[in-house]
Formats: sequence, C-alpha cells, structure tokens
Amino acid sequence: MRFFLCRIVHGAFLLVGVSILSFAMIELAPGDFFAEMRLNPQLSAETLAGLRQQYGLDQPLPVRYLHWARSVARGEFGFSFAYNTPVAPLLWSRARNTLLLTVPAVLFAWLIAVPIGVGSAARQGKWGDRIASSGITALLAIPELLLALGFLLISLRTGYLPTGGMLSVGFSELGWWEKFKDVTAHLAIPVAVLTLGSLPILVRHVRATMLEVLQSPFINAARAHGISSRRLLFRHVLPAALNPLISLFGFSIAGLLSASLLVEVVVSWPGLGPLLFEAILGRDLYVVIGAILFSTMFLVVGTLVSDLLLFAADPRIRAQ
Amino acid sequence: MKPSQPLLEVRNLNKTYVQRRWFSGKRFQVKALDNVSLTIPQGSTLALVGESGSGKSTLAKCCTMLEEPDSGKIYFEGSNLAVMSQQELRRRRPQLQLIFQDAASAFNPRFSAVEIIAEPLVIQRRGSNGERRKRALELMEQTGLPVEAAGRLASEFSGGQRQRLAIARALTLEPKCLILDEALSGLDLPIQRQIVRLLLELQARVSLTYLFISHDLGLMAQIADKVAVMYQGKIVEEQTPADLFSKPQHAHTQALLAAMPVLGNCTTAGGA
Repeated sequence: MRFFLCRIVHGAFLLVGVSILSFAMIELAPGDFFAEMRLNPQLSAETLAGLRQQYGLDQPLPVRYLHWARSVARGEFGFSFAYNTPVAPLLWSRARNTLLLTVPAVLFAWLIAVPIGVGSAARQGKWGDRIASSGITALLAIPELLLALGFLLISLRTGYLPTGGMLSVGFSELGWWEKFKDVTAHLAIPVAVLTLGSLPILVRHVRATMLEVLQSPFINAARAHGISSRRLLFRHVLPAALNPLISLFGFSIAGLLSASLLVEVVVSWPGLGPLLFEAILGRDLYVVIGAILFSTMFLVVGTLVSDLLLFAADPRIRAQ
Repeated sequence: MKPSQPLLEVRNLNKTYVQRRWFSGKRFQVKALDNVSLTIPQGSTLALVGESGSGKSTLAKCCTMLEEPDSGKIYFEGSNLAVMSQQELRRRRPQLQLIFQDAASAFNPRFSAVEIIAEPLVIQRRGSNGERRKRALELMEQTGLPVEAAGRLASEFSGGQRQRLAIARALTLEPKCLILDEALSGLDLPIQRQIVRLLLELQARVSLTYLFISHDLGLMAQIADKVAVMYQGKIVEEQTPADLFSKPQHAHTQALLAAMPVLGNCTTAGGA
C-alpha cells in the first residue's frame, strides 16, 4: 500500500517536472501565437503588444508558469489563443474521441496477438509458425500511414465504409441504434489500421517470451509428469511469460492518447491528433502543453496499472 | 528383492546434436549418444558415471522421452517408448520419473512448495485437493523438509532444500523407476545420507528401480548394483562396483578412479 502511495507522489512530481520542461522547451522555439499577425498590415504593433499583454505573454517565464499552474489548479489548464476557451474542456472532448479510437484498437490488438503468439511459440519452426511469423514480419514492414491510405482507397472504390470523419451528416436526427452503427462504421478503418499497426510488435513479444519460458527446465519437469499441452501452455508457460507482457500492456495504456495521432490526421478523425497538429503549427502554447501533460498522465496511470497487474499476477512480488 | 526381468532397457540409442553456423554454413556435430545400450533389472540400481559432457544427461532425457533419440529403442516394462503415441506416453510417464540436475530452475517460480509437489497429481488428475495436499506434506516430511515451509516459493528455499523438493516431487506419482541426474551432488553429507537412506528404504519396500547419474564414484560404490562408465557418448565399461574398483578395464575408468580424492593418502584409489 505504501508502495502505491509512493508511486502516486512520484507520478505527481513527474507531472510537475514535465510541465516545467515543456514550458522551457517551447520558450526556446522562436515566435509565439501572435508572431504571424505581424505580417498583417491592418494590425499595428501597438495592437499586437496589447494582445500579448492581455494574454500575459509579456511576462517573464516563471510568472507565466505560476499563472498557468494556478489555472491548472482551477482545472482549466491554461487558455487556448486559437479557440478562445480554456484548454481543459477543449482537450477533454477531443481526448474522448481519441480514446474511442484507441481503446478498442488496443483491446483488439491484444486479443489477436496473444493467441497468435502463443500458438506460434507452441509450434516453433513448423508451418503454422512460419506462416504466422512471415505474415507478421511483412506487416511490421508496412508503415501505418500506408495501411491507412490503402484502406481509404479500398473504401473509396467500394463505397462500403465512410472514408473520414466521425459522424455522418444528419447524425443528430438518427435513432440511437443508427447512431451506434454510424460511429462504428466510421471507426472501422482507423481501428483496423491501429490494430494491424501494433499487432506485429505484440505478437513478436508474446512469441519470444513464450519461447524463452518453454525452454526452461521446469517446463521439462511438467512434461515428464505427463502434462497435456493445453495445461502446459496456459497453467505454466503463459503465467511465467506474463511479466514482460504486462509491462508492455502498461505501455499500451500510456500510448492510448498518442498512438493514433498520425492516423487521426489521415482519416480526419476529430481527436487529439489534428488539434495538436494545428496547435503546434500555430504555437498555441497551452494546448500543446496540456496535451503533453495529458499523455504524461496516461503514462503514469499506465505504469501504475501494470504494477498493480504484476502485483496480482506474480506471487513473488506479493511476497516482498 | 531379486533382480528379475529388466524394467528399463535401452538398445542402440543414438542422439546427435547439430549446430549450424549462420554465415559459413558449417555444421558442428556433437554425438551425445553413440549406440548406447543399457539394461536395468527391476529393483536394482545402475550408476552412470562419466565426465561432464559425456552424454549422461542426454541419456537421462532420452530415457524419459524429453528428448527424442535419433534412433534406438527404449523399452520400459517391455514396451518401446520411442514409438509410442503422445497419449500413450503421457499415460506411462508417471511410472518413469526424472530428477533434474539443476534444482534451482526446475520449479515453476510461481508455485509454493505444496503446489510444486502436488502438481504431478493434478496433472494426472489423481485425488481431491485435500488428498493431494496431504500427500505433498507427507512427502515433505519424508524428505526432511520443514512442513511449516509448505507455503513458501521455491526461490525461498536453500539449494539443498530445493534438491529435496525435487526428489519429493519425483516421488509423488509413486514411480517404478527413478532417474536421478546428479540429484545428490548439491547436498551436504548428512542430508545426502538421509536421502540415500530414504531411497534405499523405498527400494526395499516397493522395489523401486534407480538409474543414478553422478560423478561421485565413492557414493556409487555404496549403493549401486552395477556401475556403467560413459565416455564421449559411449558406454565404455559396465561392472559391479567391486570389480570396477579392483580391476578397471577402460583407460578412462582408470583416469576417473585416479582422480578420486582420497582422505589421508594421496595414492590412487586401489581397493574398494
């Protein structure tokens, strides 16, 4: 219990550190949100200076940081120049869309990867394993971007699935079942791309850890007792192979917000991806920092969840 | 118990390990077993000695079909294990148990001591949970393990205790034949003696058959009915201990005997 309190405090410090660092880094980049307005002949230098003052950009860095920290405490996470609203609600509505995309993708990827990895480790070197492994390697070599474009091309030609966005026109007039179907249809392509994109690494990890355990003497011992292959795999090998996989799962959680950024931009999914993309280009300072902080929070939560799972799965850790 | 019909008989067993280098394509062959034949009558003890890498452990693994031999026959109670179906083999396995050399990694690191000892019973679907536990505790007591440590993980035992845990586990299924691959080498002498006494007692009671792999010639001389000497994958000599010590035939046996540490004098061990 103390361990987890420790971890939470640790996480809080990490968040503070990350926020200070991201402030400092962005400070290093030239220009701010109003820099490009200078080119606009209708805006005078005085107006711009006034705007900067209004948003507090003329203050020195520590003052701005403290100001921002106060707004974090209020739950606003700063102010977006481009959208003219507090950052938190803006980020949160986009983050929800991103999670709608990445949570099913991560679940599918794991649900598919574990059986494939276990199966091909159990048949190491045989035909099933070779086919699965070469397929996975091929998939590993294809960039996510290409997969996304390929899927878009196919659906454009066949007209079977919508090719972008999240909702159809006239969404609000649909019944709840039609709404569900509509969102699912829009989800299909990005979820498929993300699942296929993360699948190879997961399958390879599952297979490799399983193979390592399969060679250990205690597996031989169980064989000598006349164990069935199913009980061997699921009672002895998989639990022993679980620890590195749980850590990997923690990283999957940490990546929930950031894994899909590129794909979101390609299929114009209204998630964090496009928002962050524009915010970086437009130097919408607090939106960028807010997004970074959100991702860090997921990292903290992800590692915490994997630690909890390890604790639940491994009696050796519990014993300590 | 008189040695009668052979319980375990190995005929012309061959096993070669091939290693291929990736780029040169060169093949390295290690002939671990070279036409090995052995016979162990029921209720007797055969000791297998030889230097490291002479193929003793490979023979142990092949006898229990944990490694598939390239050719040869393994008769256990008259039926050939090498050509048996997986199902049939799984049914036979409880009667032929192997104790591994490396007791540190031979246990599932997530299992407690009782679970480790009871797992063979679970695998063979024997008894209820309570009965399995009772049997496991019984075995812990017999092998001199502290019963109050039943809930501990294998990693929380000392090396010698782990060795005894391995022996306890192998006895769970009441095998007819036990192959001990250096099972006593990590133990201090009093415990070694205790285990040997247990093994001899079991042999006297239920006519257990042992294939004892070791490099401790002194110990072998005490308990074995016959000693086989292995060298570079071949059995070069098979004798009763007394004959082996008094008139060793093969040069390698003589070398092994000469290397035996003897208390008090530094001459080679001559008499048994």
